Amino acid sequence: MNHINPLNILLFLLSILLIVFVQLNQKEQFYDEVKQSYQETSSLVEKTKRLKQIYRNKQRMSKQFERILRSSALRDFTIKKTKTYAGLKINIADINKHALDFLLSKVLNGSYKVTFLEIKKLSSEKASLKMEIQW
Amino acid sequence: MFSRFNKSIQTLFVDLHSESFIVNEKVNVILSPSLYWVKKVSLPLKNAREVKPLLPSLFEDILPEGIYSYYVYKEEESFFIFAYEDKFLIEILQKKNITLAQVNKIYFAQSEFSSLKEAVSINETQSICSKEGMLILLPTVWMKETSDLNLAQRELSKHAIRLKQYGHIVKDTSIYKAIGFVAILLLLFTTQLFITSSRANTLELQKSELFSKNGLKPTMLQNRSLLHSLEKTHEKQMALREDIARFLQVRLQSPQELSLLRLKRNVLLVEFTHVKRGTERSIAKYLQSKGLNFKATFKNETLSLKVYL
Repeated sequence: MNHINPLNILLFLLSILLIVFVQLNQKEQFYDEVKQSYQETSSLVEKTKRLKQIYRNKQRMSKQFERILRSSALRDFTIKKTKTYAGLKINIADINKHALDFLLSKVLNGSYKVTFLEIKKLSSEKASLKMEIQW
Repeated sequence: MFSRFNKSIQTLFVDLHSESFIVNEKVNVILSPSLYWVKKVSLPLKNAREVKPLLPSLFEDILPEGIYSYYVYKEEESFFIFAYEDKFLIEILQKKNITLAQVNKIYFAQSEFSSLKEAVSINETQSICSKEGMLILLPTVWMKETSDLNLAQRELSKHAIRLKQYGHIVKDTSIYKAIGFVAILLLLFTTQLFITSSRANTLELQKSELFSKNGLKPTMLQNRSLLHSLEKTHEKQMALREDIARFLQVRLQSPQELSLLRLKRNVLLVEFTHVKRGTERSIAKYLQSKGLNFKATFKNETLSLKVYL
């Protein structure tokens, strides 16, 4: 018989449909995995970006800290400042209570990575301060 | 009974009374008039295709109960219309030792012998002859003269039919509907497959772009490690700020004072001086009530508290 039996065509199409269906399932599974991975990566990237912005942004930290040190509350004190590639060191041998409060509130309420801090009381009004900030 | 039609394919004339054939290769089959119904009709229609939908109604009156297939062709101004039972023909062929797989094409005797000039005997008792274009089956004894059936010199027409093996179970229209349905499903699934594939590829591309766009490391492992380190830093910095706040909240009694606060290598050291023996406990208790974990030492009226961040 030269003509193709429609039943054979139907069976052939059903076989292809089955193959495509299986492939579609596999592809959708793969897509779900990729989507999940993308969401995980996206979340990781977002978190990393945000934390890097807080703790690794040298330019921002340096600029903000310079602004604090230039403020009128700290103008009367001798501030020894050492800037390195890794961070910033500050040494104030003699600082009064109000200036110390101002500086500490600015640093501790700001986004800085404080790796070293030493506050020694010298008298009821005076103290010394050493601080290292890393970026 | 059978003779070679062309170089490669034999042609067999199959009748109810034919003997079984020995078939080794593909054959063409000519059906005896006893195996189908035929009518010659004149209709005001142009071609056979237009007649096809009318075939069942044209045979309505004469056909016994059964599932029939139909065929039509036009000759001059008349239409020759046929009705046959697939199942019945398949059974007959099987009885004659011919399987469907061995059949090349099937023809009606009507289309192949319509222009017979003399009667031809098809078996010991029956002959076929043509009358006004219609082939009829008659007892041989009625004929004055008959000749033997010779298929070797006969060229077969284009009017071949194909038997539907499951025609009695499923109608062709149902199969075509199913084919259409499956084809639509196939189209939908294939489209969905391409869309899903394309979306997965786009997401993968976007994922790799995420790293480069945000200046991160090229692998997830490196980035996980970087995030872990940043999160640890964040935790420690937050803990430092909370702990300092707790120490600064301690209410000291005169002449107690906070004389030293030092953070070094993740250890926060706080010293309270002029603390009389016995009163150091109230400071420690207050800090413990605030949830601070520390290591305390008391020496020379100095209370030293160490907190590991």
